[in-house]
Parts: sequence; C-alpha cells; structure tokens
Amino acid sequence: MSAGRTLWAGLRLLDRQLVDRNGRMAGCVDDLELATTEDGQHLYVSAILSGPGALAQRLRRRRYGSWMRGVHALVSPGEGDPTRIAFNLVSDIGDHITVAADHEELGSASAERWVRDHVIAHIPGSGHAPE
Amino acid sequence: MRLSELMHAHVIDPDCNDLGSVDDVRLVQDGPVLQPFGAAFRVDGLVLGRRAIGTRLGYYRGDVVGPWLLRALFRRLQRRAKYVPWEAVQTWDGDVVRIATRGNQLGLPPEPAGAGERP
Repeated sequence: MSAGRTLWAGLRLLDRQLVDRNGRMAGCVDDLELATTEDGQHLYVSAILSGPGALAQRLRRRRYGSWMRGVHALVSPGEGDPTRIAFNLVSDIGDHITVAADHEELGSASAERWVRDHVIAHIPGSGHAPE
Repeated sequence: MRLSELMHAHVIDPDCNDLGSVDDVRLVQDGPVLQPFGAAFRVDGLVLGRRAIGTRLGYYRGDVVGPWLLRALFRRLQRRAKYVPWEAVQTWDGDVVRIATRGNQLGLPPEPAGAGERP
C-alpha cells in the first residue's frame, strides 16, 4: 500500500459536524465503523455512525445504545441500520464533514422525519408552519 | 467493529506490561477503494498517552507558545506518548490490545495532520 493522506481519527473525525450536499446540518460523527480488508491484515473505516444509539454505545452505555438503536430502527423501516452512513458518501473532510446525500436521505434524520409525519403533522395548523 | 471499541482499550506488551490506553488512532488513506470517495482510511497505528489535549490546543506543533506552564506540561505529555504500528498488534479482544513489540522499543507518534490546519 502506498502512502496517502494521514489523519488522527479522534482529532479529525469524531464529533465533527455532518453537513449534507445542500449545506444543511445532518448530525455529528458519533463513531466510526471499521471493516477488515480482504487479506484480513488491516482495518479500514467503512462507515460513519451518527445518532443517539451510536453515541450511547461509544460512551459505554451499551444497553441504552442498543435500545436507542432498536427504537431508531422501528421508526425508520426499510433503512437498514439508520445510524450508518457509508463512507463512500463522504465528499469532503475539513472543519466539518460533507456527505454527498440529502439530509432527508440520511438515516440520522429518520427519527426527526417520523416525529414530523406522525406527531407534528396531526397538530391543527401545522400545515401552515412556513407561512 | 467500531472505532470506540479500539479507543481507550489497554495495550499490553509481550512482558505483560500495561502501556496505557489508546488515546487516538492514526489513519492513512490507502485502503480499499470506496467509489466515489476514493481510497478508504486504513488504521495505521495506535497513539498511546494523553497527548490529544495539547494537540487540540495547538501546542504540538509549537504554534502556541504560552502560558509556559501549559507548554511545559504538554511537552512532558508529548514525550510520554508512544506509537504502536498496526503491524505490531497481535490480538484485540475489545478492551485489551496485545502487541508483539516491547514498550521500550516503541517510538513517538508521527506528527498529526496538523493542529489548526486542514487535513
């Protein structure tokens, strides 16, 4: 393997703001998923994990983290692991991390979408919010 | 596997000495290709020792020169830091990383991609 760009994960990636392709905030980097290379000799960063469940697991609140991930998966059916953002969606790493996806497409926003559709939308007058 | 499982894991050398916990993980962008991002960030090694605070405050590269007491403190922490190349890791079972290299043979961590500069 040839030398490439280097960075420290804790210093440069963890807790960074995620920004979508339109410049909207899309959560924070709460953890990173590591995968093994085909030869089994190395680990590489395969995904960003973002959301309360991911953060709780990082803070060693594993039972709470598993529960939060379960709730998160419940309100975001069909999205797989809602906290996972594949690293190939990353388009820039700087003061913040830009992902080449829309805020609405990201699983980290699924709980927000569920509350919007199932709670806020049923409040009388909520349809006039932008006015 | 998660990065958080690796961070704060204790590193044990062949003589069963506890060398401290993993404070940061150095990544190099030369892993498998993830289109359209490019080469993935590969885990190159583990940084041991409480040095990240000084780095975040800009003391590592000498950009910040005072107060002298803090500078002296962070320099001292920097001298204690050690770097474990990933090739030296034998096993990792979550809370404990066992390495094949003795603690006194480990070197200082390479310079990070800059405190206060874009990576």
